[in-house]
Amino acid sequence: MAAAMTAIDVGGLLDKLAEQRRDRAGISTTSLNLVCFVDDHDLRERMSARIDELAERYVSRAILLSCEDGGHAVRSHSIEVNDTVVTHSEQIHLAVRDVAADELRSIVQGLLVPTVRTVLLWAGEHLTDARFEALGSLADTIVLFSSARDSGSGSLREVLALRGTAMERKVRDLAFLRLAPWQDTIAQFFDDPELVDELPHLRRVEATTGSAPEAYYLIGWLAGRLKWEACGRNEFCNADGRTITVEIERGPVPRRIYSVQLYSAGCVFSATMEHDADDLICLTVQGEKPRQHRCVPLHDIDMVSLVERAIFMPRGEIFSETLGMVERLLQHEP
Amino acid sequence: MTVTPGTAGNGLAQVANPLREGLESTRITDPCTIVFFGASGDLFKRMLMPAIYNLRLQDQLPASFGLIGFARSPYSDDEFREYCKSCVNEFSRSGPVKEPLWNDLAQRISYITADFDDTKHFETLRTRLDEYEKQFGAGRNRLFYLATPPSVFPKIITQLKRAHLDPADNPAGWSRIIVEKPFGTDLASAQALQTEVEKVFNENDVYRIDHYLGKETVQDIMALRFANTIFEPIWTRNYIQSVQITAAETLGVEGRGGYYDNAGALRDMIQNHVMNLLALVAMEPPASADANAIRNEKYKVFSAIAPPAPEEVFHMSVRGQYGPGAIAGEAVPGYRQEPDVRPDSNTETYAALRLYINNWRWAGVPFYLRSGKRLARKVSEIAITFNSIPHRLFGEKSDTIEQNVLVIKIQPDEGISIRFNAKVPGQKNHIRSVTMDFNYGTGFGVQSAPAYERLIADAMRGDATLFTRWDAVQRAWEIVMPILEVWQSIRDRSFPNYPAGSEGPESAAALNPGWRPL
Repeated sequence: MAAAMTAIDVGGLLDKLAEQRRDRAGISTTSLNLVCFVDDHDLRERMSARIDELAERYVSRAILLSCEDGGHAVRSHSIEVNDTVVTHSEQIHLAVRDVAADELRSIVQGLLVPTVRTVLLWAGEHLTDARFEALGSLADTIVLFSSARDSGSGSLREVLALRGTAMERKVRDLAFLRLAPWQDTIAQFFDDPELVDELPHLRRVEATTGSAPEAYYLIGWLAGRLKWEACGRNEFCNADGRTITVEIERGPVPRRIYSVQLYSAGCVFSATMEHDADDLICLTVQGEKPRQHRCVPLHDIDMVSLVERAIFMPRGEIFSETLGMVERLLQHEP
Repeated sequence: MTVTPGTAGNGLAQVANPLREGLESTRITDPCTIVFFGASGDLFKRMLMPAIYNLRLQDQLPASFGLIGFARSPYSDDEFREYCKSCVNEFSRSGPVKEPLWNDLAQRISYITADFDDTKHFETLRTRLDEYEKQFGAGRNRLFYLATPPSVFPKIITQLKRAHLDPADNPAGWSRIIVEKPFGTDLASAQALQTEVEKVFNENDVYRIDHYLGKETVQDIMALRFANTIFEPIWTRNYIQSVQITAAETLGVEGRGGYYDNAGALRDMIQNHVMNLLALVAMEPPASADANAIRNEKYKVFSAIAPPAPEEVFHMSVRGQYGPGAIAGEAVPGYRQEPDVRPDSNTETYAALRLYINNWRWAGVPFYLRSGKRLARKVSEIAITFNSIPHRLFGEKSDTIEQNVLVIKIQPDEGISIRFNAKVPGQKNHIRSVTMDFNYGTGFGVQSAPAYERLIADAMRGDATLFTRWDAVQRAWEIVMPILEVWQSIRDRSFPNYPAGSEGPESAAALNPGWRPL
């Protein structure tokens, strides 16, 4: 059920939702507020689809703010559980192109379900946008999409600028969260007691990725874990002063890592997406300590799983450590 | 590199991997080979093989993993792999196999056509395990899964010992055994089986599976009780009037008439599933989430329940057997008309008990347990009914002020609901009960894993929390044995005493007039 409106009348929007709940005469529960800000038309379509996916799985109220002309709408989605109608999700779409930051904050605050967790999905272009700070102040968790646009390391530098601010502890970046299965896969090489000894002897890292933030995060994570220090452009030095070179190649699919190769003195560790299946990574170890080729599933990288992780996992020291490494690496970039 | 002793889970030191730190992973870290005895059977086909594949799909299986099927039906390795693939394609919750992933798993699967009486076949198994451990780096960690008819369990355990596949002959790794239910058919047979198990395995290596305990809601009983402060203070005889535990099925014996006619509802459901639910509801808070801490508390509950004297049996229990009737509008035969069931069978397809837990917390609170086949609705739930209000302050005279009820729903829709009273809007002071529902399917963005996936993974991890310890199994048998003996010795001439599709025998109302409708 959808109802078009013309002005941002918070009370009117809430009345519409209440009316739809009354029509169904069932139960309404909400466990999450999702606020999504988007200022690009193509991204709006994508985010709208993702919000729908999230609404399928979360009992939530979603508020989609887009910088476009047009009306506002509310709609709710109900399901039947044990012969009882349950209002499962509610969505409010608002066109907010000319709405100032403070006013936007006030509107959104009025639309939130009080006492439940609020997550801001920020798909705006810049984190310096006053609306980011305004909406961020309402959120318990802020999910960023630093690789949503093809801006090289630009968006990552804006994420780094949040370090030390009040926003820092709330922020999660989907580009980093998306790495989790890759981190786990790379770690799997060195769960093997005979191969873990190769880690201090790594000399070169090659990553093929569709967007820069994922590559920087992956390399920053490796460097942080192995106590490397950035010592030149695309170069790290390990504790023994030996140089590790880094090469980042552009991959075929945006926002996805395609392959990672690690070279030690005697082995090449390779993790590559399977050609025919984009949800499998195949691992090989060649050289002095070869291992049987095997494939592992690339799981939980869909938007819903990532947001789930962003909401419920603590920010973690590893992300902070990785950001520190990325910052130092980028200091050597022109 | 730092060395962290004991992290491999097998007593061996493992070199720490710095890339592991801070990563959230549910992968089982110990390499291992799992051997399924009875791999050509129905349980393996429908539940176990799909569970293994889904664990692989979620990347939970250890990187070094192998699977060996061991059963009577003749298969070559390739035929068995094809059979396993067909099991996944037909029964997996994730749909047909993903070929590259399947190919990787399939090369780790093999089969031994075996006669359980022949030690040579177990020696072949030992050789195969040695080969796997070299080929796949599966360590010397072995998980034996008994998915055969229970009558074969002692034989397999004895043969494992003869073939030097017991833990004592494998000091470099672990050897665990999963034993499917039922663990014995009565107290004496359970003790006899335990005697055989103890000859070969330590209690810590024995995982007695009850798939009910792997269900998400069952695990959530502890979270509800011990991760919230609002329930525990009222979880006593001072506030709770009664507890009802129901495990009702609409299905009949489904081709298992031969087995069921020698078992019955008391053995098949109450002694294991339902008693385990009772223990989780009634136990004291454990000191930790450690498996033994929890199992100690569960055992204490059972030890506080007195087995009934023979003369008490008919006062605290009701049995029933279904006759012909209708389920969902479809006519179904009575129990005695089912294949392989004796035409004059005295086996109960419905059992209801009233038990008391004789301790400070629960003294005087009746625990009503019931389970049956061919009942009106498939439902498994625990309903906790709180005391009536002590003094009526609200409501018109005609209003019924109902007691608060907390319902933990286990199936078909896993969730929790609370019934409370509220004022009906309007000038009159009418009071009506309303229900607040939480449903697992809609409350979280993630889906529950089927019980077998969770339980197999836990056994590989060495986490016995959701498995039953021998002392609890034995005590549960001790509690139900007097009932079984009286029921067996005195035929129930009213059988069949409830029509299929009904709420059960009318005599159940004498035990508890307040059964929740099915």
